[in-house]
Amino acid sequence: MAAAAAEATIDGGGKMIILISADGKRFEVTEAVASQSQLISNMIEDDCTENGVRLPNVDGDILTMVVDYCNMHAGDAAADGDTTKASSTEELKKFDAELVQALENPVLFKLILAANFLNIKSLLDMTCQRVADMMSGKTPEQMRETFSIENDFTPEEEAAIRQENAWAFDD
Amino acid sequence: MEQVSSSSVTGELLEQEAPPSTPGLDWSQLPADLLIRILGTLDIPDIFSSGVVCRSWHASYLEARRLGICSNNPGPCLVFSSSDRDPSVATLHSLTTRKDYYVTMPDPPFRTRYIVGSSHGWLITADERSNLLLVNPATQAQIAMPPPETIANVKIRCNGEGMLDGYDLFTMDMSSRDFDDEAEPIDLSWEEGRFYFYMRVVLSADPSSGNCTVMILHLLHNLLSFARVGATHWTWINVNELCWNYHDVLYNDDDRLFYAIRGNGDVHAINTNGPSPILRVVLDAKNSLINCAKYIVLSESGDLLQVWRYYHYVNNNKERRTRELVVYKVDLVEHKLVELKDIEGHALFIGFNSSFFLRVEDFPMLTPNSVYCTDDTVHYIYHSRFGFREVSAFHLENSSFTDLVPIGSRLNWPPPAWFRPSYSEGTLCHNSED
Repeated sequence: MAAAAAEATIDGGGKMIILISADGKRFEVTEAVASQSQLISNMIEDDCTENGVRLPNVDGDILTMVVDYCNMHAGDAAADGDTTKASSTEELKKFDAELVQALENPVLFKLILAANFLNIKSLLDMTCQRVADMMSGKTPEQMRETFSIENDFTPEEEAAIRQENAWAFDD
Repeated sequence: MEQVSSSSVTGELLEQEAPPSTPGLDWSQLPADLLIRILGTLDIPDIFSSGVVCRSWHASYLEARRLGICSNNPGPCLVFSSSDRDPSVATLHSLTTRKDYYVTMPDPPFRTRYIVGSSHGWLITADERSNLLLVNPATQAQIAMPPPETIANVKIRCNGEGMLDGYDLFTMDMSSRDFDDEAEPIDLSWEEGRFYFYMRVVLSADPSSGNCTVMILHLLHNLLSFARVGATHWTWINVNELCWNYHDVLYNDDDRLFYAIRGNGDVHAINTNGPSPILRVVLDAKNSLINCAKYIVLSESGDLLQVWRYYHYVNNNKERRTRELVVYKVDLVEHKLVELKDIEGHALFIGFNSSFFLRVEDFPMLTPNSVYCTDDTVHYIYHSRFGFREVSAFHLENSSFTDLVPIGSRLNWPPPAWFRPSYSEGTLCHNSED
């Protein structure tokens, strides 16, 4: 997969970049793959990726997922001018659906922060949508349970908020 | 484990930019901008729920509310009054989540109102003096439209003792564009007026946006009048002698025109943007048969569609139900109607609401090629106010119906209507005015 993406060279996309996770894992990716991160794309433009890009708040296991995602979607980005090298849309949809479905709480949380930090819009949209789906149709109590959030309101405060928003829930 | 090397300029830079690492994984500590981004894809009830979860989510909820952030493709709800709730409470039954939400509405009490439309996240209601009130249940904002006595064929009536006691409704002469002197006016009580004045009400935009035109379809003889939000009176559309017998109206944002359908299938485009209304005949149906209720709908691809709705009485004449629905595309080139057997797999919602299509991909609980309908026949609702109210889906592919009435709810008054709750684009301005 990574090899296929590497062939899809654009603007010297054959050049490799090293990404280094918080726990020191190293990932070698093409510029085309890494550029899906707006953050790294800006760094490439500023010519400061020479010594590798350290990502001190992205764990290795999360960066593995991000790199997989970017490898898979590199065809996407390259497809603008050259449709022959794009991963098939079907394939991508399947990959995204499986990725997102497999996301459980701790990983999902970390992946959102990573997508946000690295500024990868499509991955951020996808992970945020997954959270939205987990919230949809739930009462506040069910949301707390889903996300293991502790209720830090006093009963009086909570009653006041429920009163104020004029919308009550059918529990 | 490799430590971050201080020899790397890049590494240091990123370390400084990086948000402080969160010890443990605490969803209550999800950064506010990310939570607000998520709220922007959610429906109003879910956003309200999120605001009650914990303190930090409440702060994001308040910010989302201040900015008017919510899904731009809200799920469909049925709005009605449940008998087991306070009269001030509107019940929203979400088709998406199959849950009921209870919304306390501003005065006058919800159960005293008549629902005559919905669009742009607003409910269009008429109070017991037959004044038209636009209300947004999400923001609780309310806007009053000009009073009924400013409609061309309506006057306040004085009784023998000089007391004001209701409305006189006049027949208009279409050739002189004035009162028909031969016909006696119909006298209506303050409350009855609303059944005659608001057969259909359509908004051109979010009424809090500062540039919204409201079109009403009213009796006698199904005339059209319009007023801008903030105006003092209604303007009757009487461009030619055919400006009567309308059944339904829509507003097309793309060309900023209203499109109205007449009982015989004619379609008129009406431009209210200039100093006086301009009318263009889009379709001359050359048909005199009026044996059904007709709706005009804009498809996603921009085609004008007509929906013809036929009724029959069942259950010892106690229930009036839809017998059949037929959907036509208006062929603007050939000037004819073409029957459609499918509506591109979408679901169509009709009734008092401004008609809308939803994609079944976005709302998998909906049945493709189905028309979701509520009761909107004024004379039937007027005469049988607490009678049976139809809420059903008609499936075009096999001409069958599914009843959608949520069990255990009182659905007869106000008549239930489809509604998609949403903040208004103008929420920001609105709050600062309050």
